[in-house]
Amino acid sequence: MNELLWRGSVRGPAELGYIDQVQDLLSRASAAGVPPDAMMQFELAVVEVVGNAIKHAKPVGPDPVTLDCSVEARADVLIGTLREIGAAAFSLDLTAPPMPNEEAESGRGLALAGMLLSALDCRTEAGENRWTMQYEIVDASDSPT
Amino acid sequence: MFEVSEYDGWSLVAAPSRLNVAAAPTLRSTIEAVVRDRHHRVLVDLSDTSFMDSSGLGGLVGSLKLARQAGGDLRVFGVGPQVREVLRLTSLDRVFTPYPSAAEAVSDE
Repeated sequence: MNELLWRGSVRGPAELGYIDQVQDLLSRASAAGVPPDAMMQFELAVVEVVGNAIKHAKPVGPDPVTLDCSVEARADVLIGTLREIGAAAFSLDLTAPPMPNEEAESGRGLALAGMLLSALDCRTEAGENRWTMQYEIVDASDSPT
Repeated sequence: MFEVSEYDGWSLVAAPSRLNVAAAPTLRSTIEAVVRDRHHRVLVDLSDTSFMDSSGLGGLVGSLKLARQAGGDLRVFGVGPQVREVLRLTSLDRVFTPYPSAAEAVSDE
């Protein structure tokens, strides 16, 4: 079953206030019938990726970076896409970002996103970084008891 | 700055509903000001916090270090399921013991 439950997007400058717009967007997706535990993990992963962009995306030209986050909720999968428009190319190995030690005050975001998502990818093309975040919804009723 | 009150000799800081990249710097600066005022024992009330990300967690870690460097401590209470999950995923549940209430947080010697 791959029924589309909800789709939406939000665009804005790569500034701190953008994160609350993304969380408002995710709240609307949540209301469309996504299992709460799945939504909780997906929201954390998306917020980590968007937060990383807000903190680290560097503009390539005189204009600030614009972020465009879209979310698609289907019955069996949640898909997030983040476009960093006008940003310098992202270059970091996303295969298994390490979790820093207990004393670290930063550096956990992409490690958390990698742990929570079934697929996390970033490609640079046509002058933008395009992040894809995929979360497979496991039906708890299928799990062995 | 977030609301700060007194509780049994501790400074009690009320965290916001979303402790994310936008709110974490304010949490950090609120607690920095509390510790600078020589109130080294800090309680963070997470009862209203339904969402915390790694930036919020980083703010708590930095604030804990500040409080301990000043000879005090920082404890959290009112932890909901999302915050508990973030602490577990990052193994920081070994650092922040989530207390059910302010009374239990301050009475643990």
